[in-house]
Amino acid sequence: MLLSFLKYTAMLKQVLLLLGLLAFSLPLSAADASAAVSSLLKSAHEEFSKGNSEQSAALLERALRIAPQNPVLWHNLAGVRLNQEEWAKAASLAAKSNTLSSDNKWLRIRNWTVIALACDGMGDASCLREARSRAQALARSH
Amino acid sequence: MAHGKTYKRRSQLRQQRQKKVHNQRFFLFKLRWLLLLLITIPLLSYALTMDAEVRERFEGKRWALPAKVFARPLEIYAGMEIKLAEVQTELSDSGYRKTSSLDKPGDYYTRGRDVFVYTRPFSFWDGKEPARKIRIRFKNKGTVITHIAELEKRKFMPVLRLDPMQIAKIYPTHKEDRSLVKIKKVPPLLIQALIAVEDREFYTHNGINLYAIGRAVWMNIKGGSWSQGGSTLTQQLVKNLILTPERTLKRKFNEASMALLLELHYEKDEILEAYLNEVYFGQNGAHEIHGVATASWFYFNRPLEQLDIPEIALLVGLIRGASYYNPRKNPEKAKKRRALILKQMYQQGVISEVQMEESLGEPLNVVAKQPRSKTPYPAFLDMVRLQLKEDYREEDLRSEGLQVFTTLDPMRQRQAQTAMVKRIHKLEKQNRKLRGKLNGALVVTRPENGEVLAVIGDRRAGFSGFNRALNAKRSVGSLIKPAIYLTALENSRTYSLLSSLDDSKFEWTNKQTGKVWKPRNYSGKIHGKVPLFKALGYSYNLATVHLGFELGLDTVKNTLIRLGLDKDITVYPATLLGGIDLSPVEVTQMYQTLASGGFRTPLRTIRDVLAHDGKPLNRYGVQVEPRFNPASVFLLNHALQQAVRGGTGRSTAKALLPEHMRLAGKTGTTNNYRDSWFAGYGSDLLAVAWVGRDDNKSIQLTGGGGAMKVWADFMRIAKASSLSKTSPKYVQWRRVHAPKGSLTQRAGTVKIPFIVNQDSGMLAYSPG
Repeated sequence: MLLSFLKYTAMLKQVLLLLGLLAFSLPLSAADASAAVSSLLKSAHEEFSKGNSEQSAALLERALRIAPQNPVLWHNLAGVRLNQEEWAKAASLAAKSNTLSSDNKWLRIRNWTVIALACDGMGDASCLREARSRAQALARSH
Repeated sequence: MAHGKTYKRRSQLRQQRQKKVHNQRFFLFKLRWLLLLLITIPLLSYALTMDAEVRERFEGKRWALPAKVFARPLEIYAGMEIKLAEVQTELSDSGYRKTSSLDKPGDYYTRGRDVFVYTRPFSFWDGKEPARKIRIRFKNKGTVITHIAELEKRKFMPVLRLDPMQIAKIYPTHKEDRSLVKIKKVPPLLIQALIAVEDREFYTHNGINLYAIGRAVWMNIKGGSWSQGGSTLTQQLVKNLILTPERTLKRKFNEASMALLLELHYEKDEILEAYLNEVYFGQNGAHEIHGVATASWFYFNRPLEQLDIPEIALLVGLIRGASYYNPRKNPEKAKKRRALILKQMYQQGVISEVQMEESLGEPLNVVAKQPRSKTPYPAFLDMVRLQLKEDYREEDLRSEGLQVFTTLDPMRQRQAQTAMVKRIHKLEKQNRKLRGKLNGALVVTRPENGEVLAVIGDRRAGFSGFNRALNAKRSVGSLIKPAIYLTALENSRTYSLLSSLDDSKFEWTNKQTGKVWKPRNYSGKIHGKVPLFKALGYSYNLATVHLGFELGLDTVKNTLIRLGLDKDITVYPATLLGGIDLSPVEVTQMYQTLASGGFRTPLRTIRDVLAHDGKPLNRYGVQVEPRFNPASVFLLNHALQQAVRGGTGRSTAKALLPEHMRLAGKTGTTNNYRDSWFAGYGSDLLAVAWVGRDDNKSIQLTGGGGAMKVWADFMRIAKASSLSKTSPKYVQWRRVHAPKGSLTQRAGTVKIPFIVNQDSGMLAYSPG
């Protein structure tokens, strides 16, 4: 039981890593400000890969001031918090991203993955189950 | 007998005398040692105490540094909607100088639809912004930025962050203003000039300069008074840093001995650095300017590294008499003094003859307007202090030189002030009885991240006194109603926007007191069955009370707490109609949750805090917490948009808001028209306005007739963005027959959002 649990967590992390590369190439919706937002997003990515999580968060928040309804930015911020093991914050931010991405299935899957990992981090099994099944249901849907 | 007696006495006397002499000798011998001891011990202890004092004063925390508080930095990008004039105002308010060419950081000028800026370098929490020469090009009559070009690198910048405006300082109790500079950062020319003028043998003497003292004594004897110096830089530092400013010989002696001790313990550069940070440069209101770094900003509005020869000469000249040579008050004296310094610099080989000649011809270059010593944003600062208090001690704020980066947006604050000041004036014109009696508060935030952009706590802009935004706790009236309707809409199987509510007579008897509560509608009328969104839009009291009782008072209380009400309240039936006292800031916190789509987002006035040397201390990141189903909040926001355009806000919205603006909001009016409230938002701005009297008397204004006008003026001036039309998941729009008495003016059908069942995809509530 425990083993399969761990296996699953590892798998989720792999999925996330795989999708992590995807996230930064996602097209951004805000047309006019896109250059500003994507340049800040790029810097955030750089800081994150250097291990400067909080710097990365600060840059994402600058981008969010320009495009407050951009679900990709909220999602990435959730990812930063997840990395810092700020589980509750990560889950909340992913939920925020979800409400702004009703037409973006893949982003929603990623958000539910973040939530699942955060639930796992908090040791909340029922929350993990729910998030996992949400992600799976979305992946199956058309 | 008598003889024998005499003899005996004589010999006794002799013996006694001999004994006395012996005693005396012994005593003298002892006295010598005693005197030596008596002199040495105090001398030694004097030296030791002085040594301890010198070391303690020099090695301990030398100075208390005021905290610096900054506004948000202006970030601009291609495609941003901002007026050219607003960028100019921002630049000049943060001390940029209008020039004709970009020579130094801090210069800017406008040509046609281009603004040219030489930005000042700045270190932020997340990195450094270097000084850059920039062109900002505008289009659409100077309302939108086309591009930002970095001139020297010949490339476009996607986003540019300017250095932030300093909006306040939190001063030490002794009111010294100072920021520290390392000796390596001080221009060598300034050090050379200082030494050439104040202490030519600085690098060779050992604390005191006997020749200089001798010369000074001679001059003083000739002049007949003890006034002229001869002090080395070390002595001056001792005088300012350690001793009290009395002019006695004893103090002179102390000063000289301490100078010797100081030189014994420390390097020349350490002493020089301390001197440069200690020296007094003038007065700014109640505050003393100390140190070359602060002085550079105070007089030239530029960092020390960027000063030129004539400016350096002026600073060095001011050391001898900052008020006498005050370049703002006595420019002629200052110029003469500067000429003298330049001459000495030339004579000592610090500058060339050409440099001296050129510098002599330069204007003083002092920024005419003395920097403010009081903050122009006192109401906002009150909130900053509250947030700081949670993590920092008062004494640290006053002494550690912290750099506090706030969320204040000077542009929004200006717009908010304009809206408040002008509208209060107009309201008083309409009703002469109110003249001078009306007051108000306005809080502006960003819905998505909770940043407070502007706060107004008084009708007078910049007035620092009673802060109504934070401290006026007033009855909120109908502003509370959205909490009740949201409680209903969360229960999507039972309620929709079209649910029929009962607007009929209501009576409630308090079982303990026997008192009967009989609420009424504002109009006094009874409307019978009304659709839910209409009851909210028209703010019907009776329908609301019936609904509240149906839902249960405790459930409503729980909603208030989930929205962000941060105190324990007892909910009475009268609470359903807003019988609860809240400050505008508290109301803002609750509406923040509605404006951000159901996520509780704590209000913040601080983004981050750095130590005085730029080391990151605290960052206050955005925090969100899902508190309500986004679909329910979407429905509520739809109803609140109807309230603005078709309900109690109708006439004010028609008169003051551009038709394209899709905003949600709610009016609040309290008993006998004592308070006029409005809380409303679009997608980028949330604003809560209150208008009333401090003596709590009637102002004869409804929420729509008073506060909403302030709010609408602000939203119009600030060009608030409309709410998004995109509906969240599990919301479907349905066209339904316009119900009787619908808010829509048109006959026929209206589109109304409904929540659908997550599993079946059917409407959760059937309107049929």
